[in-house]
Amino acid sequence: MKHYEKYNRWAWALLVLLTAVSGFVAFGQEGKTALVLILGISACAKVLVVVCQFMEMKKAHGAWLVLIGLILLAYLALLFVLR
Amino acid sequence: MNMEQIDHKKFFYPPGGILIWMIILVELVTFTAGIGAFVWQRSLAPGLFAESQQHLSTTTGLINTLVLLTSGYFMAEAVRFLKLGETRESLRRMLAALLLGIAFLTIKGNEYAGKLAQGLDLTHDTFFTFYWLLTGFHFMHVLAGSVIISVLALKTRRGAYHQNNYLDIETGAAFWHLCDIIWLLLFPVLYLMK
Repeated sequence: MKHYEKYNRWAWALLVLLTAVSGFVAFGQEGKTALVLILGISACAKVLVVVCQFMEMKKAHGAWLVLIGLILLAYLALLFVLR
Repeated sequence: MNMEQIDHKKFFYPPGGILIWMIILVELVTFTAGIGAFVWQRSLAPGLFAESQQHLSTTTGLINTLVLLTSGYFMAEAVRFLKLGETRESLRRMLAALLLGIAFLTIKGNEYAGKLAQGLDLTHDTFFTFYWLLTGFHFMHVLAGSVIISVLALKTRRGAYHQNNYLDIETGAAFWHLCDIIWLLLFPVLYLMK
């Protein structure tokens, strides 16, 4: 458990970095497919970091991550198909 | 039950317990469907949605995202410290997570008050109907999560949870992280994608 301190800190730094990049990339941009792609993938990446590190699902049965992954795929698909 | 004996690699024993994970999956599916409906409605009236979205402050949304993420970090650390047997340190992290949760609610409440003062309520237009429903539902989750953390912190202070009894804390933390996750999916769609 001791080494988790370092991993939690790195996970938090990565989440902050991805959030800052999302905000920076979105500034002044409108209606571009690339923007939706970057923001959508960034959101999914952040969710996976939280799920795997903060919620410790990297220790769980792989099927749980598959289920979460499927929901994230649906999220990305909805962003693209319905826009 | 001795927590050390739990094998999380077994499907029915994810960290936090299977019940909270069933709730998490249902919540994620519900919010994803809500986001899908929002995106679909936006495709039908892009001009109206773009105009209404200008009333939202990206900076406030970004600050709230950072506040929730940092709160989630402290909650993860609270669980870690409890598992290490450092109850006092765990309690301090729980309180930090709670304070940041309250900060999120305060900032969001302030944003809501501003919108209401401008007449941008639930019935203003389709964009704001979705805005209020999606963020309002999330707000209620953060509120519930804050109450859960308060109770857990109080019980931890009284010695109810320790190195060999932390399942409730892990479950409460999973719910708190659910609030993070929902916001991470909502924020770019409502505030950033134009």
